[in-house]
Amino acid sequence: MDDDHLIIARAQTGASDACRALVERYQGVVWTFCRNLLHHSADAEDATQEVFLTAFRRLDRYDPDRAAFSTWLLTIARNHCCNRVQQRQPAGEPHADPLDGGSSPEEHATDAEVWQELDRALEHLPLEQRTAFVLAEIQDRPHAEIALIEGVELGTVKSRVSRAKARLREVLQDWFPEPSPVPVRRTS
Amino acid sequence: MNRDEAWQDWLARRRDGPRTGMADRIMSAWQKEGTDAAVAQPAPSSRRGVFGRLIPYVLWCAAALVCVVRVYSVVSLLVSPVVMQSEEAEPQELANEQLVVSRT
Repeated sequence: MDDDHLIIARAQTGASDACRALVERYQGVVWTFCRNLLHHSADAEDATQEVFLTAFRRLDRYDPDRAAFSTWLLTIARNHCCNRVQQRQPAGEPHADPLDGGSSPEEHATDAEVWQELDRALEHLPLEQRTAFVLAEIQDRPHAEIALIEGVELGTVKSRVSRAKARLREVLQDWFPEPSPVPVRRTS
Repeated sequence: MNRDEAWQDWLARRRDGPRTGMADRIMSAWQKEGTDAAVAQPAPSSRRGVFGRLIPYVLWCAAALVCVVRVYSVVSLLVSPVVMQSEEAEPQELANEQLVVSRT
């Protein structure tokens, strides 16, 4: 990521090709985050665009010694998405748009149902648990980086991720119940 | 499909990327914002109004006036005659009216 510094330095001078390079490099990270927080592809596209525009406007404030560029971008994305979610009406009925599956029709029916349940459970998680879970489990970001993005202690991040995982695992538990242990009959 | 497979498949589905053309959309929005800002922002000369443009002249005039006053006061001090007071000068006589003591 050494050439990140060069690209960012060029983008700070207003070079359009450097800005494009940053977008192409980081759009996936930002989009996936927004998509998982906002649950709508259209909202996620708008949010991703707004995150990059905000970043370009404030590019002179970015300090590479304090955080990686992706961390800085994800902090902007997190604040933007949290504002959007809070401005929305409280989630009642699930309204996430479905993602594509790739299985056979019979399998697809079951898979899609499980995934929709998980989507719904994710959508109903408290916002701070949702952001922590998305960053840790879906985007594979280290907990220390998430602590920077969220502006909380490392322990708080760990507990949020763990609580979110526990809640989502409960959904799976309903669909795939643990086989009850076979009682061992004593022979005497 | 067991529980772990379902979990991993779901996570994989949630990692999907943006549609193609996202970068173009962002860059065109950024360029449009730059163009709009350039149009909305007037040239520096017209942005400052008539009073704005007069400010430097007013400041220069004020500074010049202060200099003139200072120079005048210094010159007037140098030019004006110095009044030497004699140490042996007689004390000023009191006016006759002040010497009249009331007899009442």
